[in-house]
Amino acid sequence: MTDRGAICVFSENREVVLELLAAGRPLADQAQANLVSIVLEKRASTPTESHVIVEEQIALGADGVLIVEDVPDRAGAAFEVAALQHVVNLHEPHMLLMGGTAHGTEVLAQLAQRLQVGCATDCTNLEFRNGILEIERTVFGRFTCRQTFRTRPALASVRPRRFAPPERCGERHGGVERVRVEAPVDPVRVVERRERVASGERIDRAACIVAVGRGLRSAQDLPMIEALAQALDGTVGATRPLTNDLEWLPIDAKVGLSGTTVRPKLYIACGISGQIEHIVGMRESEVVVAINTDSAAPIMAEADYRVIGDLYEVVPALTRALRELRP
Amino acid sequence: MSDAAPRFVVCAKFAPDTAQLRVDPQTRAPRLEEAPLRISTFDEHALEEAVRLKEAHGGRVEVLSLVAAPPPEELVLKLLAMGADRVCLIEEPTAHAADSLATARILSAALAKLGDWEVVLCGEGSIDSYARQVGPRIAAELSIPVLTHVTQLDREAGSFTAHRGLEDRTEVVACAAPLVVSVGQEINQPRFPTVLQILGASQKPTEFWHLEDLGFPVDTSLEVWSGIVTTEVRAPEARRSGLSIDGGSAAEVAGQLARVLFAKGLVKLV
Repeated sequence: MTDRGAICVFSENREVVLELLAAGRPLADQAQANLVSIVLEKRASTPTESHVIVEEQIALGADGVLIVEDVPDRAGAAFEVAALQHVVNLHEPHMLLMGGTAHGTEVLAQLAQRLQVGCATDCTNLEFRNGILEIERTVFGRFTCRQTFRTRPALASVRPRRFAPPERCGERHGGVERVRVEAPVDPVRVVERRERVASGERIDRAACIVAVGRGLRSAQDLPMIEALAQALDGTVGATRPLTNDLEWLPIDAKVGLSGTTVRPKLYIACGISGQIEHIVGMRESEVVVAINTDSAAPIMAEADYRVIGDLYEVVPALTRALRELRP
Repeated sequence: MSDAAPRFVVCAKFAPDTAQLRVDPQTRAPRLEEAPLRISTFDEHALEEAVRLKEAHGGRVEVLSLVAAPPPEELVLKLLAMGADRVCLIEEPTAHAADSLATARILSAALAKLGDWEVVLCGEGSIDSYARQVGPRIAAELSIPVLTHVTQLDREAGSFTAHRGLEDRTEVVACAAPLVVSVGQEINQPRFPTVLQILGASQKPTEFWHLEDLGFPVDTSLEVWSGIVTTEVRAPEARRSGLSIDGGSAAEVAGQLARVLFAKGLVKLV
């Protein structure tokens, strides 16, 4: 199963793993290699839980599952780096593809340096051309750069939600292999860990997002934005200054680099100039509307529909117009 | 490590100001030679945090940067005016070809040369590439721990407590020095240096180091050290239709937009 030259995928996030299988399947086909999903099996997990995960991975495109077993329940990044290094040394995959979460990127970059190999984070496209792996990623905010690897294995990541999870296919079969890795001493002690409690609808699942930026003059004007979101059956998102500096909105409304990457059908950017840290979080949206007084604002380059105007006039007018469309 | 005079090191990048980067209409390549450089914004936050540590605990702040050519003097002065005590520029003409692997190797060697610091602060990514690799890579190269996405950093007797903000959770973690910390924009608001600080900055030392000072062979291009080769950089063909909806009052524009969204099936009539 895990012959040399496999395409391996790994993410600590179970939803992201599915996206990686979608991204990795065509690569494995192009390279005529096996697609192998690496799974960390916690000590406390039951055989049933593991069985469900293995079955899911194979049904969704994996040719095999490599289980790192007996993982300490508190294992963190240090363990993942060690485990992945062990697996890479053992199986010499052609490529390891990981999820570009904050945690995943930290693990991947450390692994890459340990292996002394190159690594391409947040790839937007990956393909083999004449047997050579080529990736695309975004640089300088809006340019696409093509890169190839000089070193092996090729380490890469894709941003969460760049790829849709694959369709389930019940007829697939695959092997399971188990390895054990000695847990390293983790010099980082976790004092406290708090899962984020969603304050509303999860923004990364919303079909429509009405996002607001510094064009909003006061927190008291938020109901105007909420009304538009409501008229569209959508959710309110925001840029970093509004969630962090001004704290007008909860942190899980933040779209962008340090917040959530979203991929709604409709994204309406109100009074958002389009700083790069925001753009990378919303650029996968299907249809983008930008409402801004500044026609030269970078957000305009990301918009399917540009409205040059004051959000204080356009947003309420749009809310009214949408309500009028409804019977 | 003497607690009396802790040393804090910041790794900074001079990168093209992406907001001012234009596209060559013929080749669709970025006109890098025309775009002014700036200090990568995330690194300004890293420096600000280092200076705050110095203000709270005493000690020194040093800035390291890998550069292809001497950066504009005003940018170096800004680093010093913000509170750095010394700027060490590792000058290597092929630096533009260095990927994160090569950059981390060189910065790690420079950090070893500096010696005896407590914490290395990095921006979590750079404004030009935003690969988010160099901080964790330095940690791996030096076999020390790394804390990424730090939103608050506290020091007590050579040990650090950090708040981290990740997509799905927040964490408080503790770690002994030496370590690498990478920060985003959440951690602080970088200061604007006063005129007096800017004037004082020119009194502080800026040093140029070269690869041979770090024990590396001199005659290799950093392209050879890199694991990644960039073959092309182009502005993508417009992915967005970019239709302007204008003409008339806000109500007319809004009416037009509403009809477009409806026609596209983006408005559910429930």
